[in-house]
Amino acid sequence: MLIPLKPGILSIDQTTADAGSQVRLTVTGYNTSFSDAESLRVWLKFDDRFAVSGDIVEVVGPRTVVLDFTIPGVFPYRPDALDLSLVIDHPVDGAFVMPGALFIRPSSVTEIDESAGAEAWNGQISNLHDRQGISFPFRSILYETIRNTFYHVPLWFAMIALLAASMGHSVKYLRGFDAHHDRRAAALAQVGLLFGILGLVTGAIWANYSWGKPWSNDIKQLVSAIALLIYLAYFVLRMAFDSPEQRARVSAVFNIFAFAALIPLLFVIPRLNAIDSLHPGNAGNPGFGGEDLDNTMRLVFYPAIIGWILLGLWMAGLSARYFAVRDRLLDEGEHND
Amino acid sequence: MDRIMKMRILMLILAAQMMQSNPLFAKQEGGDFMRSMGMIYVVVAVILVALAGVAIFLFSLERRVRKLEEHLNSK
Repeated sequence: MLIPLKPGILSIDQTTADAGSQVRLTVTGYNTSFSDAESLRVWLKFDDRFAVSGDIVEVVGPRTVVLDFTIPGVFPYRPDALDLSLVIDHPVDGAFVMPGALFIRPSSVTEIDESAGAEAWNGQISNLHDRQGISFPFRSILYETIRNTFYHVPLWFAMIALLAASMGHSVKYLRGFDAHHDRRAAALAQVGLLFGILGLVTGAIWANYSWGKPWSNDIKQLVSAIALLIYLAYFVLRMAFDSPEQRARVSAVFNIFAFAALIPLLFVIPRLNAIDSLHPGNAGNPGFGGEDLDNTMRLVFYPAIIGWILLGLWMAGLSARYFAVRDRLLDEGEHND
Repeated sequence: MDRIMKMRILMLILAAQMMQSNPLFAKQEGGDFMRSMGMIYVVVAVILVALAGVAIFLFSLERRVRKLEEHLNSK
């Protein structure tokens, strides 16, 4: 919690401009320290090769800076997208980017000339500084909630691990009909279901502020809700039997099928290319790379997964021991009667 | 029994304090409290929900164990 976010750009007072004009931008940053900078350097980036550098007009405060740019009237080629990224390099904070910061009106782009354009867009983005020390990525829309990655996501990882272990015990039960495995399977599924519900609730809170509403019928929200209903049915099924042996056998079979249904639900359907999702890494493989999860976050994220799995196993272990004591007391009670 | 009552009262006080500090309940006062400071209170809410879930599970387990204890003592 004490690790700061990397600095980033919150907003710019102007979002469109004409080619060949001069623009004055008031930039508001987050976690920035503009006033401490000895040499702030700024660019508007057109693509990987071309950029224009700008001038610092006034540093209003640590979070606000006024910049001047002259956007060239001539472009090296006709681009597909006319948005420029704002790059700020700070000697201590490091460099940070706001993608798509300034949009150039297409009607104003008239002159296309390769050599003249290359000469006009001559700002060299070089010698960028790296920020010292540990900090988490700055992502617009997410901001500080990127830290939820350490709670919301490991809950799902732990749920899958617990439900897999539960299925393993169900298989073992069917191989030897040892009631011990039935109790373990039930306890693990219990904690797995709890973690799933918590994952859904924490996801809804996060979504309310990042996506605008708690439930967007996102594909991962839908399939995890279906998965939880399947496991809810497992417990309804368990309650429906009076005979412990019958309950154990039928629910073990159901548990194996429930896990078999879980795999396509959680691992196949969200990866289909045809389905769009608000979650990172939609339509394809989950997004465990790039800006969403950098190495500083992995430092916390992987231990968090291990921690939640161990916590879940311990909770399930307690519950299974409770079931064992209860069953033994019930047995003794029957013999005494 | 006295010990259990004391624990229950302690739990109630804890829950009341959590509700006061929980941003979910304080939402009505300030318009954008949750969004302030880079939405850090969304993280606070998520952590509280996760811990509350674990606590509910453990308390319910404790209640079930207590029933067993009472059952044993009554024999």
